[in-house]
Amino acid sequence: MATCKPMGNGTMGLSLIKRLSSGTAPYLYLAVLLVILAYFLSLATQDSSQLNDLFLLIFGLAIVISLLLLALLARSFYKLYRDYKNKTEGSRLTVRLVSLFVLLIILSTSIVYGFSIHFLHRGINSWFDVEIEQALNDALELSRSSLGIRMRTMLRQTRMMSGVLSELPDKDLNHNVHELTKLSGAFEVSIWDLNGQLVISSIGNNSILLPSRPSETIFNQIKKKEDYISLDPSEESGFLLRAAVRLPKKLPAQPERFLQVIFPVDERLSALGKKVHNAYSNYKELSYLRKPLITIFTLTLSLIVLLTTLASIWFAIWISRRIVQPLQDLSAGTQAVAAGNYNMQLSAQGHDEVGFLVRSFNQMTQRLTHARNANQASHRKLEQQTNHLTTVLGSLSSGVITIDNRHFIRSANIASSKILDVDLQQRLEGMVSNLSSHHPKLTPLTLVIEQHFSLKQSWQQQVEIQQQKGLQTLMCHGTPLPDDTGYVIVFDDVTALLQAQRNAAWGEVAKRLAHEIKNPLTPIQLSAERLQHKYLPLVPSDQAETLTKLTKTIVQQVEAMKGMVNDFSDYARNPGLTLSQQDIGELIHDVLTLYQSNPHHQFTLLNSPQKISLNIDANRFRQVLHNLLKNAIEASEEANMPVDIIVSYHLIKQDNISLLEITIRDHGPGIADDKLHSIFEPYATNKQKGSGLGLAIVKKIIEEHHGHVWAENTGDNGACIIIHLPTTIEER
Amino acid sequence: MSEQSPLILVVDDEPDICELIKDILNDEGYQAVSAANGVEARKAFSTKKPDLILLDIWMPDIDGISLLKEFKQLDTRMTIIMMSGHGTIETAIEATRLGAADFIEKPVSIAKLLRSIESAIEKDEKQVVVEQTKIVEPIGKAHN
Repeated sequence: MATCKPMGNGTMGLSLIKRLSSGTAPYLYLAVLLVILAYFLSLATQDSSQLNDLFLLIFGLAIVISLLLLALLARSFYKLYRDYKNKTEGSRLTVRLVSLFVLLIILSTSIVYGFSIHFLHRGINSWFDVEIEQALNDALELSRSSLGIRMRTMLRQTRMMSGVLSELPDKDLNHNVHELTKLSGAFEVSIWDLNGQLVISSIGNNSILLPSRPSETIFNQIKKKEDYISLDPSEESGFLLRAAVRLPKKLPAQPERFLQVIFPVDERLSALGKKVHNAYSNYKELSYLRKPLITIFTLTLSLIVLLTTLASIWFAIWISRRIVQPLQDLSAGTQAVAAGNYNMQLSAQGHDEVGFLVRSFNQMTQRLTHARNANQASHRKLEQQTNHLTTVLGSLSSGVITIDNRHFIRSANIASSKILDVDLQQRLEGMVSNLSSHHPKLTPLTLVIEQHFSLKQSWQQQVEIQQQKGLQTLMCHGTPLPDDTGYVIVFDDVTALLQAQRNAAWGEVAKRLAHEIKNPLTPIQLSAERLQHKYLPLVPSDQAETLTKLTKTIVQQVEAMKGMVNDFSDYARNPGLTLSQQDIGELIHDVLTLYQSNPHHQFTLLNSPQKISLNIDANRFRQVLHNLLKNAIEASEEANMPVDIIVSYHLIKQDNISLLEITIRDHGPGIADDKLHSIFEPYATNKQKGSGLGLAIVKKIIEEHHGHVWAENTGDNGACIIIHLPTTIEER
Repeated sequence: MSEQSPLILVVDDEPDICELIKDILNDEGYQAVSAANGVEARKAFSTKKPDLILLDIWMPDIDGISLLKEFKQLDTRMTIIMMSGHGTIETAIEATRLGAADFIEKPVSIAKLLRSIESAIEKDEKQVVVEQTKIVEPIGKAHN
């Protein structure tokens, strides 16, 4: 506790100083001191005689104020310097303004100061002008001479009175003195001896009992046998004329006596004389004080100028800060806006240009906020629209992919992934070409896309992709996006559609075929029957049997043909499959045994190591094998080449799915390259005989089993037909 | 039925078939006229007033089903037998639903043709309705 006390005192003192020197306190002291100074100054100027006494006070006060101001200024300047050094907002402008103000203040005050000093000197010197001094001297002389006249008159009167009194005996003296006093209008008449003894006296004023005793000067003068006259200030007011005349002796033994008469001086004359006298003495005094007065005034002026200058500088700093403050705020605001804070609102004050600027700034930020809000709103709207679009695209059954001009995939809807059976969302922001390296089955599609990229035109192309469940046909449309920003690819899985179209075409083929065949069959049958019916009775009986036989053949053949056409129609009309589990090896073997009759034909069956059982329509599948074998035999025979056919079947894995692969390879002439893809189309045959439907029916049946069939030329010679069937076939 | 033998209109774009059927019908004591297309058929229908029509389904200008509909609208009692080279079940059902008396599949034997005509002529309208259901059912069952 004991050790704490001084510290507490110290901090208390420090805080007191701090409190006294901070905030508005110094200004308050300053104001109070200034008021006091002003009071004293006014006091001093009112009465210059008091200047001397007040001077020290004023001087001290002024020094205190100056010190206070200096301290304030120092503080302000230090602040300014600190701000400037820290490069605080607006400090440069403040400094520039302050320096300008200070320059202006110093310039103007020094000019005013110079002139003031000059005028002060001249003014004070002019007070002590020679002419005024002369006039005062003259006035004094005048009043004196007028008094002199009066004095001489009074002296003569006194001499006459003394002449009269000397003639009288002592006993009548008293009475005559009174008479004389009354007659002469004197204030007081007295007779004294040289020893200073009063002989007799008479006073006009009854209130005074004793006459005034003559001064030593008078006694001396009388002893020298001279008359005396003087102008003395009276006790009450004005002046008195004192005259003393020696009384002539009647007897030599008689002691020397003299008469003193005191006359009142005329009131006005007395007053005037007094005034002149006062003015003169004042003037003399002032004249004496001239030098120190000039010094005092100069000092006072200098002090006031110093005070004014300091106060002005301080005020200049204050006003500069005040002017710069809104600019500083504006600057800070602008920086905030530049940094993206648009909610900046400054307090607007005043109706001047700066206030206008601040209001404009506020308006601007408000508008910016509005604009930003509008922007955000539109952004949100855009997002909504994008979401909307995404939803729409997502709900589309068509696949939609957008690709930018650098061949990167930007977006892909759900349907596109579903159709392609590839998760395209994982491939976003990847190159189109990368897609095919990750998913080789998409190569035909990516090739088509890349191929059309440089054309910058809309395009449409059918692309076939080998999917796990079979061949998929895609109808792709490419449209360049505006401003060459890429492409949008829209594709549809048209496999089913194509299938339906193909089926419809098949139906149409069947219908036409039926019409074209059955129509001519009608007159054939009718004619044959009519022939028999009409001419049977007419022919000899031995030939009747022949006629009947012939017509019967015709009718039977017509019937057979009709059956064939109907069968074909049934294929074309696409009835459902009757699926059942079949052993593939057994099925192929059964079909091959039908061909064993011809010794020139060689068939080889390469069995799969394991037994393969598939859910298929056995009759259709036999038809497929039959058609393919017949096709292979006929192709070899036509080219006069040996019939050597190798059939194999086995399971393979493709894209992680198990497939049954059946190959039928011949050693015939092979297939022309341009026909490789079209031989499975109806009537695309290059054989001399055959309907041109054999391979088409094969393709149809295989596709009904969700399989895929195609032809290849083998390396040496001959062709190979390859069938891929998924190992699980869904029930239709 | 009048005392005159019934008049049969044969509509088929194949002239051979028309001629042959006409000859056969004439032999059997029927009167027969032929039309090669829809226009001729309409003309013959309005001028000749046939008792029975043999109508081919496939013709160059119009299909037989439309013509059947048209004739049935003009005369609901008209007996019409459809002939077709590609007898699908769907067409047969459609034709009988529209009021065809029978559906003959080409090529046809004389016996079948005459039997069909005879039975059609003998039936009155009520019997025709019964006949329709009889025809529809077996076909539907057989191919279901």
